[in-house]
Amino acid sequence: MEQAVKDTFNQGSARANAAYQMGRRRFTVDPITRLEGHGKIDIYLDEKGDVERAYLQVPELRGFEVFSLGRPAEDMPQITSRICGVCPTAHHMASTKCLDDLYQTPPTAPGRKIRELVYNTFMLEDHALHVFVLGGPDFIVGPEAPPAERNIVGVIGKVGLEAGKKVIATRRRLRDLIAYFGGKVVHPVLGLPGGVSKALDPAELPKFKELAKDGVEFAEWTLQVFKDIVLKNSDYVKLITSDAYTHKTCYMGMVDEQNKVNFYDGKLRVVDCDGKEIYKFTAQEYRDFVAEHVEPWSYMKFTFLKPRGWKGFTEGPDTSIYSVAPLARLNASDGMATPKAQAACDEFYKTLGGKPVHHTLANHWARIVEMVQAAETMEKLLNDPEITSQEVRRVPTNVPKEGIGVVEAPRGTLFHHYRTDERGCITMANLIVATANNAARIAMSVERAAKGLIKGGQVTEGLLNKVEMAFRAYDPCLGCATHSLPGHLPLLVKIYDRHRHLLQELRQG
Amino acid sequence: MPTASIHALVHDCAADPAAVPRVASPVAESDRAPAGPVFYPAAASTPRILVLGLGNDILTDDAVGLLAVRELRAGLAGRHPLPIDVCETTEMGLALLDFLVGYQTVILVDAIQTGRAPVGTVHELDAPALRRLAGVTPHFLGVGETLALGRQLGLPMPTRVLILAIEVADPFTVGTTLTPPLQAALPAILGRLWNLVLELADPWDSDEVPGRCPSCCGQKQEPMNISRRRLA
Repeated sequence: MEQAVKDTFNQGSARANAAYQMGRRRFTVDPITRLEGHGKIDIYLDEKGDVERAYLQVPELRGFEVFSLGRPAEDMPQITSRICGVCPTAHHMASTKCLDDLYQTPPTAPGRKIRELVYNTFMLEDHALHVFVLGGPDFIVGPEAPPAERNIVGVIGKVGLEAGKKVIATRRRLRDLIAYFGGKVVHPVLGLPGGVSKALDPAELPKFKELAKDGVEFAEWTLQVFKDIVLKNSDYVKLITSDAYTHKTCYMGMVDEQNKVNFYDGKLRVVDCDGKEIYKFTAQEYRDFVAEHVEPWSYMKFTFLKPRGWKGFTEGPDTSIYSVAPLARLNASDGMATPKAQAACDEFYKTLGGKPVHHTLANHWARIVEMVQAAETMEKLLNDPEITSQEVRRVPTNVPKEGIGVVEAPRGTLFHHYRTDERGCITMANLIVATANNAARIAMSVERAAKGLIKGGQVTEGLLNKVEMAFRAYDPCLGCATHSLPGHLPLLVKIYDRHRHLLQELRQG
Repeated sequence: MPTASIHALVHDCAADPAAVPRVASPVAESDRAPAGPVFYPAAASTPRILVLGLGNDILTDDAVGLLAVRELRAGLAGRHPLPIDVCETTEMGLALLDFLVGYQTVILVDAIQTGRAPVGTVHELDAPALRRLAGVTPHFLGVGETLALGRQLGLPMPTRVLILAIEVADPFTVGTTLTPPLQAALPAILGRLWNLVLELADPWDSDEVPGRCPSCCGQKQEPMNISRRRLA
């Protein structure tokens, strides 16, 4: 990055941080949650009282780069996995791949397979959590249901107690597999440059094969639950396809050599809003394609497609805004890598009117299609004779300099980029997390919802819920900065007039 | 669903201090918990009380819950066995279910930032706030929902949950040391936690000096009037 650009960016960032700090002093927070920055939405009205701008703020993690400086690069998979209690495995894996690149030491074939096995298991588990616990209540219980019922308890009420037990038990077994390899679920110690730290004991193989088989069944069952409850209800389908939740942007996702969805490795492919491939690049080339934009009114960074230049929060054929996460991955690929997932994917596009699908709420369905692929991939890997090989690591001998690693986290593309001195100590560390890749489109969704619900200074009933649904479909990782008192997401909406005076404050949670 | 198998998940637990990530060195060589046999106590011998520290060990003050229970564990080590497990975790949401199952009483120690109290203040959070499910956004699964979920699934859930929420200054900056005001308040926080634990661990050994905080300052402290709160 050029120095002038960097300076401008840093100044803007510092101003925004200072403004945020000032803002924090002004509002009070329910003491049960101290996540005061989470789910904070600011809405600015024009002189007519209509929405001029609305956006979601999440607290920014501060000081990561400084903290990393001088530390051995091998520590990064552990440090970065500690950043977030929600997706530690994604950071761990992106970081590990970054080390491979840094030391120019690709993993051995069995080492790579173990990584892929763990990663697909994580995807299945994390997606299941979202479907049933986080986002699913909107649909399984119903978007119009009272908030008191729109939670996991309400989901179990709808799908049945036995089904609820199945969800909890399957999730636990999937986490057992991750813990077997990673030592622990939340802070795995699996990844090393050139491979992994633990091989699979053949004695454990039957247990995990059984799990993978059950995993496929579980994913297919989840798909069936979704079809029965959501797709058979025309009101839900109408909501999914409604204009309020539709944006014509570009999409980015990782694909294998056949352009099929891959979570762990491959090239990044970008399609435009007509579904046509416009870019395809390796992780190492990401800076030529992804740039970050800062707005004076927010401390958030909005990524955009660099070759197209920043064109504002616009949609359509020329937009430089792209989105990531399940829907984007399906849109950016030529299909799924496994047969059952491909069948589910075909049905997805047939029902929603062909590729690409621009409906944000379709992310929920796309997420279940991905669950099927993750489970099938687990099964395929566990049936590969090489999976029990003990050759899981290649010891690096090259002098490190710079490395870039990328994975598809459940919430979208995740980049890790480090530079080191010749001893392998970090001199620069940069992360672009999934939610940053989605930030611009999330901002558009929130603004759209707000514009539809506020006219002439009058706020329509149901604003909070509609706005929430708009960003929840992306599964934004608001957990990055904090664990907090577990763990409601208070949604705080502040409405300002054109003089930036606070008019109204709404809260939920 | 047998209780013991649920505990198989608890890898960050007190039974193996070596498995616990350390704040001072975020990448401990002993980070890997032993695989294979479950080291967690079986259901029959599960203590009645769990003290669970929550937080992120590399986010400055966010680690205070983890630090507090770590000190408590050190203080309890080698003493007359109390029916207490002391655990820490960086997880949240649904993952807490795996920790809570099988205990009668749970004390959660966590960071909070209300901005309305001096740094280091220990808020004892009210049970009704946890009991209610109404008005809670379903994005993250809160303690209240976790308890409700566990009960609905027929799991043995705690009947009493107390939350000690410690007011912090900075939970957003990556770092492994507490801010100075919180560091200064730590002995008092530990004293408060220690008192509460002794009070709940009934019957406690009368030979022990009540209210003494062995882990930090060693000073005798006035027992504090801490109300016990019950969850339905």
